[in-house]
Amino acid sequence: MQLKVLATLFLLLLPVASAFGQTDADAQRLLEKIDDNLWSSSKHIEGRLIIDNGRRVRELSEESWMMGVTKGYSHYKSPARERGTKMLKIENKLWLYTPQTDRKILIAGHMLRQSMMGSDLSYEDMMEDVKVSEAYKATIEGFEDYEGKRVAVLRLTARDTSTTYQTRKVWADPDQFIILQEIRYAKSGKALKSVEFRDYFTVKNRLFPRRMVFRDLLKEDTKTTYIFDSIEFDVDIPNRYFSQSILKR
Amino acid sequence: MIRWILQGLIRDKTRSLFPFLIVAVGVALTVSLFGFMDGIGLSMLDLTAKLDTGHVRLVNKAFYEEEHLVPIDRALAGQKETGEWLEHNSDPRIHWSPRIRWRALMDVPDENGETRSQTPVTGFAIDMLSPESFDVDRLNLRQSILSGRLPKNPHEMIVGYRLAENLDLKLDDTITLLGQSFDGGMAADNYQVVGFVRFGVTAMDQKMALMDLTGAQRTFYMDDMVTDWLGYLPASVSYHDYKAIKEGIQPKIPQWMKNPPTAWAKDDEPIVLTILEQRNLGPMFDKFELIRSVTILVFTVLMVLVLWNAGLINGIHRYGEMGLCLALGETHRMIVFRLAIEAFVLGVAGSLAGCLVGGAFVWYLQEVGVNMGDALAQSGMMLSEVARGRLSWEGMVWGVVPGVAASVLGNLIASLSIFKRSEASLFRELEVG
Amino acid sequence: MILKIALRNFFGQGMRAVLNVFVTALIIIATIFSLSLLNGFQAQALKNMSVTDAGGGHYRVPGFDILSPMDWEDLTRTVPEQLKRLPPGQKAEVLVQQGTLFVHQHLFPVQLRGVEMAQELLDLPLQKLKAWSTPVQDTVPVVIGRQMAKASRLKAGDLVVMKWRDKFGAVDALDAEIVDVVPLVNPRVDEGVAWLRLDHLRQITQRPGEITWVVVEGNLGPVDGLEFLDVDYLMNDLLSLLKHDRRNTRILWIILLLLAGISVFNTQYLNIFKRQKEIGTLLAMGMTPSRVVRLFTLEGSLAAFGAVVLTGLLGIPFFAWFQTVGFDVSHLSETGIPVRENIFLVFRPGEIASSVLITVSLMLVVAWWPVRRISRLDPTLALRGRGIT
Repeated sequence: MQLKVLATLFLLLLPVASAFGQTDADAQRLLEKIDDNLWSSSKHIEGRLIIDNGRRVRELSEESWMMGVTKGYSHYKSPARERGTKMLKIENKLWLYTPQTDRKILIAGHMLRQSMMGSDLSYEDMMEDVKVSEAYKATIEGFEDYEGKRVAVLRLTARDTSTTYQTRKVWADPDQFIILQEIRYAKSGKALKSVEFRDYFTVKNRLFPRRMVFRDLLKEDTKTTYIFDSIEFDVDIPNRYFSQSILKR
Repeated sequence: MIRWILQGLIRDKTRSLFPFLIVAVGVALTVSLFGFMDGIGLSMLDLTAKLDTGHVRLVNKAFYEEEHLVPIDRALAGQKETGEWLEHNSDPRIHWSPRIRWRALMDVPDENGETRSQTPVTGFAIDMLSPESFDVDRLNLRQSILSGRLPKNPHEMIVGYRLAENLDLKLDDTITLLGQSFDGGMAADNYQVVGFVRFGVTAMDQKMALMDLTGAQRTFYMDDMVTDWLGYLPASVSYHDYKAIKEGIQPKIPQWMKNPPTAWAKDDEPIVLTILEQRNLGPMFDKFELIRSVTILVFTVLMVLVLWNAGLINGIHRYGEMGLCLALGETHRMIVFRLAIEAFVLGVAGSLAGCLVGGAFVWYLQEVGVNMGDALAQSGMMLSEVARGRLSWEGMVWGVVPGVAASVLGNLIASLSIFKRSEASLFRELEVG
Repeated sequence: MILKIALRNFFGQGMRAVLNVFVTALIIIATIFSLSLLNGFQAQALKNMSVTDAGGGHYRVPGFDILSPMDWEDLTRTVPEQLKRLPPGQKAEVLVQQGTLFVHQHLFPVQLRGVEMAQELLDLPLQKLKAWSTPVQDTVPVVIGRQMAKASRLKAGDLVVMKWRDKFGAVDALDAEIVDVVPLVNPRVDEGVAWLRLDHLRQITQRPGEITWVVVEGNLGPVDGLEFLDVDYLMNDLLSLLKHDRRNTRILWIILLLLAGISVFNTQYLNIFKRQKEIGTLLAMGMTPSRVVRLFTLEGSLAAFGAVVLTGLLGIPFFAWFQTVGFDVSHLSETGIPVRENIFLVFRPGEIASSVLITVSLMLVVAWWPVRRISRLDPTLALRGRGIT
């Protein structure tokens, strides 16, 4: 899950002042800066996932470690039923370990499109492992008032036809270099998912959202909120965290 | 007078035994045909009822509306209370069977515990372990197992034989199910595959697994919950009555919902459905009904024709006797009346005997059944090879009324002709006959 | 000589002979009719499946399994030239992909089935789709079956969001308009299926010229990259179900034959009864008992033969007429939209032959049974009608 969050976080910027113009080149530069600034060789996150399916709200807490964009490991701590569940991502493969079964199950191929733990995110959403500036070409659509701020609206177009969401729209604060909202579109242009970034706080000179809210726009009354309780950058992560041997009790 | 007629009947076998036998056989055949057509109808429903819908089904409305997604989170809690309520508030002939429908990814490990093969499967959890369970017999499970055995504990399951082939499963392999729990969380559990079963329907042979109810309740965290209550009625209950039986339960639900089982969610609302309202069986059955009525009608017309013919011939056979009676001073009217009474008594007696014989045959079909299976092709399948029937009053009426009427009518028409003939000519028939 | 007497006797019975032959023939016809109607009812499901889906077999991409939707995307290919050349009456190209409909916030995973509009092999009520042109603009026209409409509570004219993946894995979605709700008489192509124009489905999934299978009239031999699946394979479930049902109808058949049996038995037996004096006369005049037995048995066979001939005379035109109109069951259709749905008789030669054979044998037996005792009959008793009691 965090992997996905991370991917989105790449879009966040250090509060570096820059003169943001109105050209597509500026937009692309902004995107690159977001990636550059967010890029961290490793991260450690403790967070909570709140899944609201319209009838029931579930809260999961977990801890995860990430190395670059290709390796990630997370470990669920609560609720009791999910405690001990582990996920390991290496490149485009995902292993799921559950203590009840003491098995690691490979999730690959089209299975990755399934919803992850009943949330609005698929395993695929979570596993996105490319720098946004590399995967998408940015153009500027204009400026808008967003909750009292003047923000730039960027349209991102996928460079590769196999990218799941061929276009995205991003509302970014060009002064603080933070993203406030993102909408992901189908190829035809129909809006499918939205992500809101809320409650920014400063950590190690980076601005980081406390909450990210994911919504599936084709469903009603459902949302998945990710809450970051703590995040550390550039931490030393032992190699065993990214080896299949960690997938046991 | 009546005694005289009876004595005459008993003493002259050609006057009594023959028409009696003909009516008896005709009525017996009609009763059999009627009961058997119902049996064909029942057998058309058989597989769907057993595996999927029961004859009546109690299900949470929210579950039913999204049934295609198998929304396990809309299962109905309070299994014990619900079961008791159904026991007290539904037709006492219904036998209720709690089930869980589920859907999950089935993952088969290799020797290192790594995924070797996997596929999405759907399944049923039924009561397979409790000694009072009828489901194992109802589903003909013992005979449907191609290899292996039935589960003996909640951690064991049986799977469709083609699913086993596709996943390269061997008996006693342990597989993992990965699905969603009742509360939307992740459900994962290991099961030992102890048997391969042949359902006889490709979709099931290829994608279906069966486990005990308690196993599914543990795996999907559905303590005291089920997705379906399937109600089964004995073969003696016509499928025409299912709707009335449903309507005997449905109106009691609003009252129940005023004081529902505590474990129910506040938007839970059980509904009752008959098998004919599901899986497109209704329209198919309307067609079958039509064919059934045409067959019965054609048959009845033929039986009437046969009995009428018999009555007529029997009547003609007795012209000599009539001549004698006329000569002895009996009036034409009296003779016709006496013959009609005779035919009526015989018709009733024959009909009773026919009902007994036909009824016994249909009752045997209903309670025991006749195995029509190909003894050589016994490869085990869930489709029952047993022909069934259903004994009904309706069938008896369909046999008796035309049976009696036709034989009386045949005799009457034959006897009416004595009005047209002279005593002498009738008498001559006696001479030669 | 016996034949001559038998013939004379037979025709001499006049009205009664005609009546017996007529009733027997009627019973045989009714037996054949009832059984064939039930066969027809059962066979209709097969026919429906054939005209809506199976045709005369499929050339499919090897490995394709309709029960494994997750693999559908990977199992397509372009139409081989050999099949592409076939005229529209001999093939129907079909592309099957996975999709999702979002109906009133409910999710419906569906099979997107694209079928050629020009094809004439399958009988699909997709006229409304034909009216649309290529390429897809803002909405995709979709036709669904009645069962699907009922399950999803969709009706003609509704707009829903349809989501799918293109060939490269990108998510795509458009509004889909339900342009028609049609009776599809085959639940397998109704529940969970959204019908599209093949050109549309190819366009939106970026799969120009691709198919999952091609429906054909029959096996055309090996075709590159595709495997042929015959009708027996495609309709396996239904065939075994029907086979099972047919076993059940054996009892029905026995019941009907028994009716024919008692009718013949009654008339023949009484007949012989009534003719004791005739038997007595024949014996008294010197005919040997065995010849009398032969004479009466022959007479019985004449009635049987007459019944068979009459069955042919009455039955064939009746059945021929019936096959042109069928048994109209349109009024039983679920909704008000009229569908021409007729049940036709399906004759099983074995069934007919055995019905006729058994009825005839029965007639011979009952013709012979009462007279077999003639060999030990006292002609004087017989003359007085007291020989057979």
